[in-house]
Amino acid sequence: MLRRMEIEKVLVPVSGNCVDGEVIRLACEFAQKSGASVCAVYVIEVERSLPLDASLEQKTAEAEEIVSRAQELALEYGYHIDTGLLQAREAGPAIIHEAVEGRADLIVLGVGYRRRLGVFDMGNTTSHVLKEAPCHVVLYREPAAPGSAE
Amino acid sequence: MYVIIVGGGEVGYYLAREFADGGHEVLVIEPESKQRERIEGELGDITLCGEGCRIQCLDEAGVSRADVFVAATDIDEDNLAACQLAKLKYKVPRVVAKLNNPRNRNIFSKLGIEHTADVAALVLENLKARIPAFSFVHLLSLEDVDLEVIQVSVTGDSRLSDRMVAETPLSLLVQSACLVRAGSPPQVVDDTTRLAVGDRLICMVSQDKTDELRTVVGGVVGPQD
Amino acid sequence: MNVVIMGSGRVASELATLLDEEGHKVTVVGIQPAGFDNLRPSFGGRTIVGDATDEGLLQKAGLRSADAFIALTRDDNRNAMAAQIAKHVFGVRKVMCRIYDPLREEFYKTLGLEAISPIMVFARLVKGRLEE
Repeated sequence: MLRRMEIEKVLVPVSGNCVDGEVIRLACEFAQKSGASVCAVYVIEVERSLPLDASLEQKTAEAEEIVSRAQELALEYGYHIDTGLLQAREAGPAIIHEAVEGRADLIVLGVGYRRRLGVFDMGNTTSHVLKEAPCHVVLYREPAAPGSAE
Repeated sequence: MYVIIVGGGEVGYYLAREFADGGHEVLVIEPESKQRERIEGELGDITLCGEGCRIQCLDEAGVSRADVFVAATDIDEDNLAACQLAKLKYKVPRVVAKLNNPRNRNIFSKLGIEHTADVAALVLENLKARIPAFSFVHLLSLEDVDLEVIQVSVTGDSRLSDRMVAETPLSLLVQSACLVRAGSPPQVVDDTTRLAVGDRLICMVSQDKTDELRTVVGGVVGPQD
Repeated sequence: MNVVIMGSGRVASELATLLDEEGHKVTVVGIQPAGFDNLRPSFGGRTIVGDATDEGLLQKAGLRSADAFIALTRDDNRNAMAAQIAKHVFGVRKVMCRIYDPLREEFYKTLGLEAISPIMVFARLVKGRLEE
């Protein structure tokens, strides 16, 4: 099915955890088939006690490291990707906003295998993206090996 | 400005829209997902799930950074609790409560919440202003400068028509007024202005003079007498 | 003592009965008539149906001459509002209110209200027993 998709722009939200590598690899694979561009974004969540445009040096530095690592990973697969940092109250709506504004036709995102109260929980961000994304979404979940928690 | 609105009902929703359109940062605190979805659908990610009288929720909302805090739920005791927290604990400079029961106005004021919007009274006065039978209509309170804005209509049976302002009690009761007469531009009233039936006066009156003015003007005008 | 109690749940009703048995003049204000079923049959005080956050109703309940007002509904905000009216509008000498939320209990104490969180009371009680 993915072969039939007309893809020009792939958006990859990265979070700095262990699924980033696999998500970048998948995104590059999809993109290569149709020569699409790939953009990896990281959302810096700003708590409401601070203005949205507050300068968060430490968080920004961490975020820059995460996206540049994504860029390096993509290069290993022979792909040059763009990166972006977003500052928002919540990651989910920010990813959707970015997908709409940037006219992405595919979002590739990953989720760790974590349980909350004994039940698998994909988290607010993933469920928001699945619910609200206007484009294709590919979701990667890491294997549920023991000790694989992020 | 950072504006926090507690309650995403009709008032909260339209208020949030006004502030957002004005380029302000807005947050609506609302426990009901249906209300939040309506607001987010139009205005984006500007809601927080929670109750505006809970300290954890107010901390998360960053209330200590807010410039304006409006409690606009349908329950007065919830609005009072939220406003008292905002004003006394978080020191928000401007705190306003929506009043659902007009009788609570004095209580709120005594308990430190001076700025209230009495929804029922606003609707009532707004309706009255559009019905000619009411010769005395309270339009607006400017509490901070002790002024009331009142619309007075001159009727045939009042002691105002066909007289100069100096000959009527208005000259003593009203601080300043603007005359609105069909067919001519509004003009500032002075002692020599002659009043006629059908004139409307937009009057600035100090709070302690409003009752006297009401008596002079004569409240509701009956159909015949 | 002349005591007005707001609320007709179990705690309010037990308190009303205890005070009544000791010969105090007790008035219970409840928003639902059915709530008065919690009162013991022996209760000889007065019951009033109505909203105790309403100044007019509190007047009717005799708050002007009350020595104490105790707000014990399930709603923290209603309790806090009624207690503040009793204290600041009617000048009742002894005013107490139940505030479940421990954080808000602290806040209302800073406003000079005698607020009691049953959660904190019970937690401290159990902790005290553990330490015995």
